[in-house]
Amino acid sequence: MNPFPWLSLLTWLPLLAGLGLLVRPIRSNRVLAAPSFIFSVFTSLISLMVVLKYAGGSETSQWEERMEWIPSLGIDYALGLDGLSVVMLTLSALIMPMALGACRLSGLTHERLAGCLLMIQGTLAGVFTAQNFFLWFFFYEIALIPAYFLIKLWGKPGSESVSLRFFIYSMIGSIALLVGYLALASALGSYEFKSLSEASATQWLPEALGKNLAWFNLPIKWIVAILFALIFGGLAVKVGMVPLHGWLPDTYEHAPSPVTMVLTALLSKMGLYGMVRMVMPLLPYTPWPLIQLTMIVTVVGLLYAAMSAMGQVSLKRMLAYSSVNHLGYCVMALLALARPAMGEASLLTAKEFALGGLAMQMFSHGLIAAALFYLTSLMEHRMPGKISVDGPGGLRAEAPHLAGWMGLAVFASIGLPGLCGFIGEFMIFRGVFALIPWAACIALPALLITAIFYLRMLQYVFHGQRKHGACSLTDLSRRECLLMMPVMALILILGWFPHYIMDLLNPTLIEAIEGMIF
Amino acid sequence: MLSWTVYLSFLASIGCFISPASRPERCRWIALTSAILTTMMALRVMLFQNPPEDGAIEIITHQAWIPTLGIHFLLGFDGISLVMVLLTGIASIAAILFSWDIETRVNEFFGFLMALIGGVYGVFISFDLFLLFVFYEIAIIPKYFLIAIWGSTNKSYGAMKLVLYSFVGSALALVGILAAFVVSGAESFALQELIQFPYEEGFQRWAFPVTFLGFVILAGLWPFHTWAPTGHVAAPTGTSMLLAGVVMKLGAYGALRVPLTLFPMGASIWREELALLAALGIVAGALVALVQQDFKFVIGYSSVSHMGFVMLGLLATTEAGLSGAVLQMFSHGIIAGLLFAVVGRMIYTRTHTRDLQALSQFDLRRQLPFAGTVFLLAGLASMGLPGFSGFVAELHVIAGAWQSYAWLSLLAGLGVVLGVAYTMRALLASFWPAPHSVPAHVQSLPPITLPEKCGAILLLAATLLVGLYPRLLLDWVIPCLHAPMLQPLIERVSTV
Amino acid sequence: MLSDATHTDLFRLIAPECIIVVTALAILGLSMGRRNDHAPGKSPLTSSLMAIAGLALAIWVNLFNQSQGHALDWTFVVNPATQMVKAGLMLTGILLVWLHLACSQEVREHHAEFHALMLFALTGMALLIGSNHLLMIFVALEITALSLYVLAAFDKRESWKARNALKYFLIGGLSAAFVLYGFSLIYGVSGSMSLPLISQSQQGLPIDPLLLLGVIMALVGFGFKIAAAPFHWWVADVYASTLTPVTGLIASASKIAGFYVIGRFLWYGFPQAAGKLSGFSWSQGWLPWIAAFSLLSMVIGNLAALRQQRIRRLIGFSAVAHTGYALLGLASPGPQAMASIAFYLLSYGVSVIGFLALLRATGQQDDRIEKGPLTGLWSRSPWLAACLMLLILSLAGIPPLVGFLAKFNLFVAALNTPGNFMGWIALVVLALGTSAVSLYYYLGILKEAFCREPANEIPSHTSEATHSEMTLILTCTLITLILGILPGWLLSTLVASFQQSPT
Repeated sequence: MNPFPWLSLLTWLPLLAGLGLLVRPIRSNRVLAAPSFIFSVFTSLISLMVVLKYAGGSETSQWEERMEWIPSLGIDYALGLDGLSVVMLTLSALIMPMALGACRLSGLTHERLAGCLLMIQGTLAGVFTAQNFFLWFFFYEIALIPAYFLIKLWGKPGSESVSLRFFIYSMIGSIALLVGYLALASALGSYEFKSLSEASATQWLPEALGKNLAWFNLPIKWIVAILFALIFGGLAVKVGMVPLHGWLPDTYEHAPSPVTMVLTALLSKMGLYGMVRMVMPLLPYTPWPLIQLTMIVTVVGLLYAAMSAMGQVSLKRMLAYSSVNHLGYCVMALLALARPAMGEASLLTAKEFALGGLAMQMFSHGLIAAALFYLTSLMEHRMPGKISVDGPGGLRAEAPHLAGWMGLAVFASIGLPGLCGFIGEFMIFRGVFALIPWAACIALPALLITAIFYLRMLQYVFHGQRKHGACSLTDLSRRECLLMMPVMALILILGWFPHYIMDLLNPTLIEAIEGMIF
Repeated sequence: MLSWTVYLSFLASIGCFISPASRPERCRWIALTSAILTTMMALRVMLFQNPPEDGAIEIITHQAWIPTLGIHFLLGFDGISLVMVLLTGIASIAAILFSWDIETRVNEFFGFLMALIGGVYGVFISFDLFLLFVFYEIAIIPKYFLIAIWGSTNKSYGAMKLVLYSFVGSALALVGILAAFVVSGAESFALQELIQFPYEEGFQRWAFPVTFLGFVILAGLWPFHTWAPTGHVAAPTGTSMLLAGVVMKLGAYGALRVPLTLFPMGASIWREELALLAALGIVAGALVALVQQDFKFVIGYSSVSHMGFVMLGLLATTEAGLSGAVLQMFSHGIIAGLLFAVVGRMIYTRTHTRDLQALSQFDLRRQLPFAGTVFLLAGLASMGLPGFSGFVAELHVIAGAWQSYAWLSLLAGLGVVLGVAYTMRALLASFWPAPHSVPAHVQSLPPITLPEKCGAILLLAATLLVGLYPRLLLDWVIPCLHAPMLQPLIERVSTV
Repeated sequence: MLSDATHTDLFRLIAPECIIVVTALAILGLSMGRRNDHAPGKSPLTSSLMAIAGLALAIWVNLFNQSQGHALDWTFVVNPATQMVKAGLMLTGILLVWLHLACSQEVREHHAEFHALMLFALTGMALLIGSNHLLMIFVALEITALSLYVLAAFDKRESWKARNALKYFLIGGLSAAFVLYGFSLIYGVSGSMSLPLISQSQQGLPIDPLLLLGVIMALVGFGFKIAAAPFHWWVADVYASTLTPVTGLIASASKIAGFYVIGRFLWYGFPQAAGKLSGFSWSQGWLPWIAAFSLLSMVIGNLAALRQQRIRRLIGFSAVAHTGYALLGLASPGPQAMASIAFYLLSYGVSVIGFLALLRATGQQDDRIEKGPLTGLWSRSPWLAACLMLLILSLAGIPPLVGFLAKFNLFVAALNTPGNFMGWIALVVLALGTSAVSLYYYLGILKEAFCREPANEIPSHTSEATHSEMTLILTCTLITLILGILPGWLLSTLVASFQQSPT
């Protein structure tokens, strides 16, 4: 056991600092170097240090922090690392300071807002390192409160109902998740994620369900189906899967752009992470018709999202729907893992691709969406209310750097080879094609549609004639560039050298695949 | 030592009654001192004594009282009693603090309040069923006067309804106790003796529902709950805090101690039907709370909903369910106290209205920021957000309930969702109204006083502490569930 | 046949009663000797003190100096049980005399006659307690009744009061007729008038329907006396129109004696004819009838009391209800059950006397509930209000007061009958249910007293009780409270005394 509780530090330091800032906001006149920003950067540096140390080959168990908490239910305060956690920690470490910086750069200098963001940073660390459901859910729920206030208090006018809708959707999802997982945990007798995956791997899971959840003598398949529906449905709300995405476009549009950055890049990943930890072990036992049904809904949904994005006028809404679309790929990949491989080597490889693609896409979508919303926030700050999908045009001439980086981000989102977006999408499709071909076929047009609306947006916003307006767009300042450098650099590098990330992930992924008994 | 909680409260009550009316502050301090001392007694036991491994009952006082009837003055405590005593202590301190500014007939108010508290303490530490019943009944009469004299909306009607329902419930419970005593041919009314007799199934078949219903009428089981919102709304703030926070728990505690302990066979026969009522209460209470216009009614109905969790947990009769029920009793006691305190004391005495529409005119968030924060935190706690005690309690209850009956757990989950809805509605309407509805000039409101602040902080601290470190309470409660008293109940369920 | 007891033994047996009679005669004699005793406004102090002294002496003789035994073929018995109950009776008598002394503005003249009549009534009741022979019972009953008729009509100032007294007299006469007729049937069947001989003669025989009819008729007659439904119609009117001490006498002492005699009559005289409660076996025994009377009393008494707006009438109907509860104690013959009835009635008597005294202290003739003498008592006199609360709650049966304990005792006794368990459980449940109803109207009185502001415009409502009134009220309240918390000694004594009295 690591003598120093780094993971707890990563979790509680920003959480308590954020809380402190909420109670006593400390103003700062500097552009960037406000206390909140400093805290965030500090935490991120520690996270990166932890990640590097982990990558340097230290034992996973070395990072585990465990303390007895509620013995009557067998719940411990347990934080730990594995491949996926580490990657997510990196993501959050990269993006949170960027978000806080974007806030200050776009004029949102309320320290309370920053305090809320800091709290979210802490809960993110908690969610990604929690080893049992109780602790995971603890941080998952707590994150809702600062998010709610961020949208409500600092969003566009008219945010009350939007924020309320966000909160209610999220709560309903959380409670469905809670109720479902409680059943599962009480059947297994433990809340630890490890025990869930072990039970799944050793085929003890259906037995345990049958023994301990004797509900009206339902067949075990039905019980698993109910649990799957509850857990998956609950998490799908967070991820923003169609048809449970009703809260998403309005929320993304009304929230200030840096907040949207965090929402899309990080909070939705909470849901996906949860799916990997909780839904994946259930997949081998879920009845195949249910999987198929869910797959259909997912795939049609992501197609629908892509098409909706095409019809949007507001830039942020378009980006919102695009997020739904991209995350849909991840869910598709997850569901494809349910296809029984029966030991066939090609199918096993396909599963590795799918899962690897899922993880990679989680990371790269985070980076890309962050970049997109970052640049959008800067644009909005300079030309409030004038940016839309159709206008204003000709910005490239006035702000070539801005246009360039935006273009990079857009191309990454489209999935251009050489940028990280391609890697993830490629791996996903490669895997899904082999496992559930018809799903991949249906999802394919979405890639095309994505390209269409993004390029269209680029064309109308940056190229072409200037449509209206006298105010001009100043180009990126050095500070702004610097802030987004790490993310942009990674987008570029990972496109060519994805193994940096994949090496971190691979051991965990292989273990997971082997754990799925088929 | 704990028996002094009862004696001290009654002494304080008499002291308040006979103190001259010209010096009201004396009564307040008498009451407050008594409450603080009794809470410290409970804390001392909880923190400095180790919970007994086998969950045994520690007897404090044992005196023969009425030999011809076999009644003994038998006081004792085990883990569950201790948790409830602590709850009573904390809630009573808060109730007194929030009643600090009562102007009329002060000494009678505190006299009745302390008598009520004394009766409640007595129930929690009696182990002779006759004595338990005596204290249970003693607690009924002060409630009437507290509501009928110092109450607000519909106070006469509310008081009478509350008292009559309580009395009827206790009458039913008495029938059960008497029947057990007579049928078993026991020498005394002591609980440990009455358990020894193996009651036959036919007897338990009717004795259990009668006794159980008798006790849970006071706990607000649906559909016998209608006295609760009326009564709680009619009562003055300090009394509402105690009523919803502690007195409703008397019913649940009684249900745990008497019918569930004495008649486990009957419990397993009637479990599903009664649990259905509990689950329906969770949902029905929440649904009705959702449409209320009077703030206090929202909280009154939410109390019915939360107590449904307690009863669901009790009827689940698994270890998780029972410990969840006890936790929820503690947690809801604190949280209900907080909510009533904010609405009744902090808001109503200043704005003289509880209507949600009218409150949005007051710009409360700027005028009373402390109240706003407290209510926000209380609302979050009531919703069951992790970090507060409600979450841990509801988790235990649902986990326990899953093992026994599936659909009811789903209903409970629905109840939680509805809880979020009505709490948000009330919270938003009062503290975060839509900007256009707030008039430009609002009259200023007097600030929150020091006793109110202390009371609120005390309650918030309690719910946070238990939420983050529930072992404080669970370490005492869990061994009790392994004790010979409750073991047959739990075992019976797991074999069924 | 006379037994070989001598006249001295005989006298010793009825010594307490003799003492009371002598006291009464002395009071009468003294008043006749003083010329202006008939003048209105004269204080009754002398007469009262003499009465109290006489009663006290009687109690002392009763408890400590008396021999036990029986006389004249078991006509009259003295055993520990009768001693205890008589002592309680006479204690109630002392309280009543005190009540009269304290509330003397009510009666302005004829104090001596009043006291004498009360003492005569008490004598009758005491004889009733010791009777063991049907004729003896009847004679004692008549002594009591005649005294009570006159006492009931004592206040001649308003015509409606005289009308009610006449009603009482006529109904009482009717009840006596019933009793006598029942007795004649019993004599006809069993051939004897002495209770133990009657039970002996019926041993081993099946229940004779004529005998049962006789018993039931006698019960009807007794029922009038103890205000059991459906023979209770006189109660409310009489309570409203009689003087306060007389109301107290009827409410407390008369009931004690009445119940004792019924208990002995039924259980010592006809134990085999008890019958079962289940299966509606009306013709198999008298127990179902008792249960029916109990049920009717509880229900009718409480429901009727709900609608009353005058306190005295309310007390009357609640007295009917209390009779109903007490009848539950007749379920079994054991010493526990009889002791529980005795305890119940004694404590009830004390509470009622206290309450009546309080009523007198707060308002002269007015006895409305709303805007009546009790309204706003909390601010007019907090001590009186506190006593009111304790007395009313004792009547309602709320712990820790004696009323609750006494009821509880009754329930335990009723449920301890061998067999018939479910039947008695149903009655107990009903008793508890009707107690809830009674709580409603009792709380209504308390609401008037505590939750309303005092009405200023009624000058006749006094706020101050005189010292003697206050002391009486406090004494009654304290007895109620103390017996509620520490009833052990009294209960044990009663049970022991009943245990030692086989006949």
